Amino acid sequence: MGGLGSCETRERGVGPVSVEGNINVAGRLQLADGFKLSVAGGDGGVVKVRYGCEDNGGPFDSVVDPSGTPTAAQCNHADVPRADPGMPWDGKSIYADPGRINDTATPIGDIEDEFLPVGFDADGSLAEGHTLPLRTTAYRYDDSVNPSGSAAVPKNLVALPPRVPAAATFPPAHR
Amino acid sequence: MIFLWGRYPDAKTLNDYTANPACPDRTFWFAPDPGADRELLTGDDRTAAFYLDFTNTAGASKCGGMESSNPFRWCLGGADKNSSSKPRVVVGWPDDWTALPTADPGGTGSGSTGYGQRVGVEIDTAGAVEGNFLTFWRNQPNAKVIDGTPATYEPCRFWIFTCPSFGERSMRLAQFTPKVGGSPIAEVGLPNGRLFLDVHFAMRHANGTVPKVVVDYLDPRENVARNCGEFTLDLTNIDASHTPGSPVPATSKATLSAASAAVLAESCGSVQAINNLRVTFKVEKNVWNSGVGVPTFDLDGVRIYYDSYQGASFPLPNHCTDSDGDGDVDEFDTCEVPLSGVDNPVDPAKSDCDPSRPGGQLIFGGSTHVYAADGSLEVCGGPHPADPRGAMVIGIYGVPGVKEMRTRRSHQGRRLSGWRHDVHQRGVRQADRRAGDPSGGRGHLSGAVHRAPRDPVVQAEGRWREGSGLQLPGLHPRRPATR
Repeated sequence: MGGLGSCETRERGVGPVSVEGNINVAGRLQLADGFKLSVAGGDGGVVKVRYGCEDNGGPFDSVVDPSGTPTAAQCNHADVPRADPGMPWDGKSIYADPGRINDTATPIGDIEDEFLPVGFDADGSLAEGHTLPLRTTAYRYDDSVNPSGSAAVPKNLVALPPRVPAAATFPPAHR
Repeated sequence: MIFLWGRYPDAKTLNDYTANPACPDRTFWFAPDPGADRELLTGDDRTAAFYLDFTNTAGASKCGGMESSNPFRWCLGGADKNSSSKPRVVVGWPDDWTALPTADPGGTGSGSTGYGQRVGVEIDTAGAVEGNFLTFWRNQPNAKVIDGTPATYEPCRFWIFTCPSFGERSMRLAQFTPKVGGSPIAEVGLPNGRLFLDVHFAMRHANGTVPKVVVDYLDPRENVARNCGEFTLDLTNIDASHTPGSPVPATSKATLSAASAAVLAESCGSVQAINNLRVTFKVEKNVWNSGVGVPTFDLDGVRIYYDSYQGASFPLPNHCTDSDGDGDVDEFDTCEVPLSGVDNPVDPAKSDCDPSRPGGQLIFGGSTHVYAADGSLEVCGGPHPADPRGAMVIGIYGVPGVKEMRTRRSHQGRRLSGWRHDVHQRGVRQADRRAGDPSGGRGHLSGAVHRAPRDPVVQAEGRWREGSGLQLPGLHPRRPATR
């Protein structure tokens, strides 16, 4: 509430890294130095690892549920396709990058439309209608200045020192 | 403090603010794209891209006590290991806090223009009473809370003799709550604002004594006390004929003057100091307790208060109690902010941005990375402008490194020459990190594509470089939320 709240000191430690969902590991899963992985949610916190699990040399018990009880990570799990009808990764390997069209081809430009970054096309050029102004400072609000705004700076915002010339704007890429 | 969409080639642009000990406890807002009307937080706003591509090595800085400088590191707090700055970075549409100033903020403030909701902050419960209780205090715990019931200082008496008050008649209150997340609002000429203090007490037979408060705070990093000032109390409203041990009237209080409040804020107005304040009530002079009657003092408690602006509160836990013991928290459990959903993790953080509204996407290029040494970062990706219902909501986008481009023979058996060699010699690896950068490789790449559009090898290599920046970082995107 407002400026109130809590600022208690929080100890840093090796508490479990918490993941809500399932985990598919294309390589090996290694948890060292006493770290644990707490997995829950999703379809029940299923962990599938393609090429084995490893921790500090003992039995692999570093994957736990929220109560801290070790759960069975499926190490050396065989590859299987996903089954998510309507999603771009439907039918792809569970170990494949869900955002790529063809996981075996060069990664350059190999990206599903659903995973495109904001303002860019798959080839890295700016998407039509987007600009990428050069920024060298922060801004603050001042309702007495910049009443109309510009292509690079919204209305009533003014650059904080060190002041810089008006931000250069890249034109959209030619395609 | 507002950051806008665009390309950030220098870590210093961000670190000057988010890792600056002179800017503690601030909220840094990465705003959505304002859209065609050029006005933030309106209906045509859209999710913005923040391309963090730190290629300017002159901006190298240390972070969080690290020994080495790194030009590719965005640092949240921790510029100095002995100072806390606790920046709060929120990317996206603000939720339940005000990112732009309002002309007439509410709360207890003056009504001037300011950022966010102006709120009154009160800290009035001490967690500990400290002091030399071989002196003449009784009912010491009663001074922790202002509720009328006092701790009483009354020297012992033998027949007609009164014990002297060697040392000082003092009691120190510490470990105040609630803890705070914001500092006093700056005023003209007072960058740290004012920090007020009320001391609720009453007395009888003052006999030349002088009640004061000494304020300090215990620096949690070095475990040393840092002085905030000593202030003589104004006795105008103090009940001076009070029966020892009886309830202290609510009106019997001494308030720091405006000038003293400014002094207190100047020395101890940071959030860290406020959260570790200690207030020592002491009465000086007349140690022999001479005069008509025995000097007695009843201390009801202390209140620290000031005005602050409401800011983002993401790092502040919601303090839920799993009342039904089912391992999660939901609407049946008790939280500072009531929950409506189910299966929430215990003690979740409050969210300061609305994922269903236009937000922001942080795109990290090359070796650029962020290190949260002493702060927080919350990103609400927001719907994708090009496909709000179909595209994934991705808040953090990683740009992987790519192989160095090498000239080679095309399928037509001729060797690339001229400007293409020039691209290679200029250092393609750096250019590869850039997307849409006219000063780097992109200009060459555009040339490559357009000057040899029918050469599949050139086209492929052009995309190798231009598109290198834009691959999924392997996080957990999801469909946009609908409301």
